Amino acid sequence: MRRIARPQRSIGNPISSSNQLRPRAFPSRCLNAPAIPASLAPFSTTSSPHFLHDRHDKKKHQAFVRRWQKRLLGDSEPIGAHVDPYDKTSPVRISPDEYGEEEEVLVDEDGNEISKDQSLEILYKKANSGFGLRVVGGKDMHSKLEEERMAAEFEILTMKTYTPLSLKMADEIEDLTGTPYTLSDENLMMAQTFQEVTGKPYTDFSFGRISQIKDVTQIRKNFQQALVEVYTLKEAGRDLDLTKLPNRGVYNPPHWISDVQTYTSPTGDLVLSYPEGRTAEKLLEKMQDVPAWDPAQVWGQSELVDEAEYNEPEQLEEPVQPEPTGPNKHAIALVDESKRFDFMSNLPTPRKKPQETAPKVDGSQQKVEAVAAETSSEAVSKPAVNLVELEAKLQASKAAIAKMRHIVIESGANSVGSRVAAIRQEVLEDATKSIQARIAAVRATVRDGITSLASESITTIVPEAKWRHASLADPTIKFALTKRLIQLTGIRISDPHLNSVQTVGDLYGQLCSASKPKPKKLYDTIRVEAEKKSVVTKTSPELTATRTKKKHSMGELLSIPNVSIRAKRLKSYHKHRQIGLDKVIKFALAERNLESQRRLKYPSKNAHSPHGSYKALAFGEIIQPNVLRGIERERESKEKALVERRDAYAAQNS
Amino acid sequence: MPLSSLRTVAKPQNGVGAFILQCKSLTFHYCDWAGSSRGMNAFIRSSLPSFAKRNPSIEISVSPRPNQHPVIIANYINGRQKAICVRNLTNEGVREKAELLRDNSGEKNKRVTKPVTSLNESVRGIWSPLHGARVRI
Repeated sequence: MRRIARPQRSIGNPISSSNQLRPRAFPSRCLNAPAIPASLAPFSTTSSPHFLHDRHDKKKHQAFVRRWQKRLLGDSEPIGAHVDPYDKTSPVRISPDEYGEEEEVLVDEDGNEISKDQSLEILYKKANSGFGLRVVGGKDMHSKLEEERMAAEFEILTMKTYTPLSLKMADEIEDLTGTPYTLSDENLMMAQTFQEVTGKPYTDFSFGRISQIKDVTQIRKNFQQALVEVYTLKEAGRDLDLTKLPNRGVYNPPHWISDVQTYTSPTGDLVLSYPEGRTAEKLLEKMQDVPAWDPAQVWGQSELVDEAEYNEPEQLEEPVQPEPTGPNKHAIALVDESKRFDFMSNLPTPRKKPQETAPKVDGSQQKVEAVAAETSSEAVSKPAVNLVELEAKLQASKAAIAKMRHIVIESGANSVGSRVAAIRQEVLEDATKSIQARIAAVRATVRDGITSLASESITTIVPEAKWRHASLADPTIKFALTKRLIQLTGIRISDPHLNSVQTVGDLYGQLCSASKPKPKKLYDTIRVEAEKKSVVTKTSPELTATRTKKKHSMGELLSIPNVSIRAKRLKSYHKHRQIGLDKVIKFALAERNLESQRRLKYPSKNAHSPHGSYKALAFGEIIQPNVLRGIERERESKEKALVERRDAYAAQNS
Repeated sequence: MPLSSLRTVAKPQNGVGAFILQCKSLTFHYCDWAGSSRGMNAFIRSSLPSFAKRNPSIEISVSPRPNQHPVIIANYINGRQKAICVRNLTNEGVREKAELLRDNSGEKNKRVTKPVTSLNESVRGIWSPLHGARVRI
């Protein structure tokens, strides 16, 4: 016979420590068994089976650990069951002032206590509801503010684009995948120090600028810079993607980059002309500039010494036990990073780069060098003056390059490719140097000719083709430009807009319109249109009068007499106010001395704002005494009016 | 004896003397976020000004109704209300529905089975078995 029904168990689920402590490949948070099983009796003393290791709340876990530390070390007073709360001397009853702890008191510069401002009490009435009060604080707000501040600092200090991938996100990703997925390389020591110094994860994931550029002059400057960079790379025949460079496209552009002129050639391409003494090679050199990381400069000599001392013992140890970071920092049982199960790959060891085969390389390299020698000799030997011939030569060299490329693909080794690219660069740089010199000479002669002609006749020569008419039909250049612009300005141009872009001017227009914030709400668009319209009518009334075709636009909506547009959702009390029900209710309540109840339900939005403004008071803001007086007067008059009305109704009805 | 005419009173008919539009007001509810409200948003931006100007006797009210389908609600003189949900319609579709509501009287929708609806009696009289073709046995 069973007296205690089976469901009413006094002992909870068996706690298996191994179950909690072994690292899980798929640490699932949602699918764990409930802390207290449903069948457990209410009198059971079995605490939560997660008492050993609660992963859910880091703070709680930390508090728990701290509590146990205090007890073990004897720091804390007896807490909880060991203390008699009814004993007058028990620590639970003693207030902090009696302990001798400091009570916080606001103190002036001279050391005088600042008493609570009596005037504030008049203004700061205790609120009965949260309506209209400012909400400050909370985890999200603080983390966001922190992030913004640190992002700004990071961008200034390191001259690198900020990685919004936060430490929390990186930890999450690593938890889910079970691998150091976000780390940019295997250098754990570097990753740790980087994390400690900057508080950000050591990762290659970068999502660009944290904030978009709004200033038009800045946008223009960046656009010009991007144009110059991309077209320089194009003319040099290199990869147009700046992020492939070792500095990821982040460098200090030279000041003369804004002086580089852009023209449209007769073929429709954009052509750059550098200022005196500046060349494309110099620019290319600067673009590839990678600042050397000098820790002494960054952190100072003393810190470096500590680092060295710290490093040595670690390096001597054979099995590397890295200090636990991330969510397991305060774990009782450490999780070994090196023994983590990597379910992402089938390989037992981390992936290594493919070994280069030596003999193959030599053979193909020789072939390539021979071809390169041929083309370079070809390019230099012909003495060409005409632009057309120069272009033909460029084409020929390009064809040779294409041939070379084909050879490279055939041989099929990465290292060869890089060497070929280096050779290619050299060849083209030589070629472009000579070509550019010749173009400059030709231009000079043409310019002289034109100026001489101009001096003879009065006609002014207007260049038909401006830089903005340069065609962007080639998708590779368009894409490269867009990518560079995203990196520089943070402004993203969407694909349908990109498809409609045919010229450089179009791209610039798209960039500008993307930088201006568009109103998200329909009401805002209507309001903006109406404002624009009113500005137009004020500045040029003649324009609006001569409109023969009556095209009613969005801006007129607000002024049409039979149309009412609301910004916010219609509620029942709006309707009541419209038909006058509100007034009737107010009077009826006043009659019965019940207005206070009504006021509570719909308090006025601006009840706490200072006189003459609709702004909510900031905490700690000092209110002028004249303002205070004004508010007091208003309040008194309103109360008096109410009292009078009440008496009048009472008199009426009696 | 002289025939005396039947005394009739002029039957009032809306439109004969004066025309009073039965629709008092139209309320347009839209949503900024929902995709089904794109047509309605486009209508408010482009077609509504001209619609409002063409119908100055109708009170038009435009207000957001977040996270709901767009709807047009019409109020009529007979006190009734009609609402049409214009979800996933285009600009022109919404305009058609608005015009439909404007042209409507507030009466409940009735299915019309007869070919003719008229206030006048039939010209030839209602059939009776006693008058008409002779029955031959």
